[in-house]
Amino acid sequence: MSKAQKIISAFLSLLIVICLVILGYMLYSDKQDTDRQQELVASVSPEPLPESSAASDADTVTESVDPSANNSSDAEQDTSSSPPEEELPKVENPYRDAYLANPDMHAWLQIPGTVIDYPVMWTPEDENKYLYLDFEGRDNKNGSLLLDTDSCLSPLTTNLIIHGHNMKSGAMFGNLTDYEKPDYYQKHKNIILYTPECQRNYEVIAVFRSQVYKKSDQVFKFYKFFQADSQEEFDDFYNNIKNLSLYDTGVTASYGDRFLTLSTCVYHVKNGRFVVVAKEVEPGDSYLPVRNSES
Amino acid sequence: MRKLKKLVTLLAALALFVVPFSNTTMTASAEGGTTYYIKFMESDNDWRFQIGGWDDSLGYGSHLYYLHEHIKDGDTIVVDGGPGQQCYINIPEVRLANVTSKGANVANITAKEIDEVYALFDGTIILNGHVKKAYVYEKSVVNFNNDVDYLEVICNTDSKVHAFIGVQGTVGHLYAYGANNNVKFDCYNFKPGTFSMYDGNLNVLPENYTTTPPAASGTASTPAASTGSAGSEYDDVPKTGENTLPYVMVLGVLALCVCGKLALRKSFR
Repeated sequence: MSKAQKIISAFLSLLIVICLVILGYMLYSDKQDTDRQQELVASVSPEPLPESSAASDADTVTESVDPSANNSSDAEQDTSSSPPEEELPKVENPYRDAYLANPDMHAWLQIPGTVIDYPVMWTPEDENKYLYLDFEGRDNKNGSLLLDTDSCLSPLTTNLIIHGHNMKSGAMFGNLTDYEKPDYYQKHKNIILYTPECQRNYEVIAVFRSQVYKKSDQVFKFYKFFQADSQEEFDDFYNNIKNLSLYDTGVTASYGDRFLTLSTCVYHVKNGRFVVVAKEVEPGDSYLPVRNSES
Repeated sequence: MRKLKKLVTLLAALALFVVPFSNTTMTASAEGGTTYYIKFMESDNDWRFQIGGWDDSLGYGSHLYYLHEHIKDGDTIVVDGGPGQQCYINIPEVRLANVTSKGANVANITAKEIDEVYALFDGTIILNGHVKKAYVYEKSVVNFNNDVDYLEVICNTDSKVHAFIGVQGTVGHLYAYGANNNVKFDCYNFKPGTFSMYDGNLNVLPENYTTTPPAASGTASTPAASTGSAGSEYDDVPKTGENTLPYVMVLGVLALCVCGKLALRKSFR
């Protein structure tokens, strides 16, 4: 071997070692990010709620008494929560500490029986602020769940869209694609969104694959639907999601109902998205105001 | 000799991977600057601030006098609520990165320049100083006493916008839209002192602005908020995929190195 070849060989060997070290560091760093995310979420999560108010009891939640009777005539007046007619006493928000720890948190999302149990951040001034930041605002590859800036909790828009990373580790919305399997759907029909006002319960109504389109494309864009001001607007969204759904959940909706849409990236096409849409059903507890315990 | 040339070519190709990778990091660098969070303390009948966010357990916060002492270029001000008594921030020599009104009632801020303004939750805010980008939500009331390069007006709950805005200087680009991205206004180059919007209605004579963008100059850079114009040809939706590019690049370099070594060994034999 000539001298030049020896030098080149040594250089390549060094490069291989460097690459392996870098790879190892990247894997370690990713694991650290995921572990830190889990610890952070656990630290701001409340103690598990007693059975009576948690929605782990699927029967209680899905017993939706005809949601159109509940919501259709109240669509205008009901700007935030829709507590039952009997005035149930308001209780302390279980996520009060988390709300106070970071004002950018506007809700908490939970799918019972899954790892999805995370704060939802809303930063209308910069929708992507928490894309790669954790709850404390530190860099984290997993990011945080993002409430779309065009969604609003107060006053409540017809559709709330939450975006989350599709992590290979299964964190965030990494397991959302499991909803492709009807069996998985059967075991995880219910979704809970804890807002400052109340516990909002949802049941999955449609599951489908879609994508982010060009601005000029004239197609159904699930991520553009936030408010139905008319029957036509509602029907357009509802009919499209039902047609796109991978299977029939048997759940129906009518004008006046509200939705929760969960979206994450998938790679079946460029800018692909996997979407789970859920319809709001009977709410749970109503909460006392979070900030400053006034009134 | 020919094999040596091949190796040199291979190394050159390697360099193409290594150099961009060395700049590609996973971290998104955090913004610099300090955030001053200002709230009205009824017990004191005065405005106070805390650094970072607001934590009731830390007490009432500090007098605004100290904010004036320590604020510097690139800092952020958040004004939260208030009873109607004006919160005066007078820092004409400071460039602020961000001013956010969380339903401020009322904030009156004088700065040399403000990079971004967010008027949220129907607050009222008066701004003195050149503003680069402003985002006014819902029924917020905003008075800009100087130029605004880019003004975005948003209403999430209605197809019509409902803000109340006055501008004493020029407005480079107005982009206003309601729910479902129902675009109401997309106008440019408002003449000084002509801009007035009342409950979302634009009270400006047509001869005082244009509806076509200026030719080449960058008056309005791409807005930070989602939706809106410019940038990608695709709709603006958060990218929630896992970034595997660093892994691909490292593995690519690794593969090339291994191939290179194998090629060397073969040539030696």
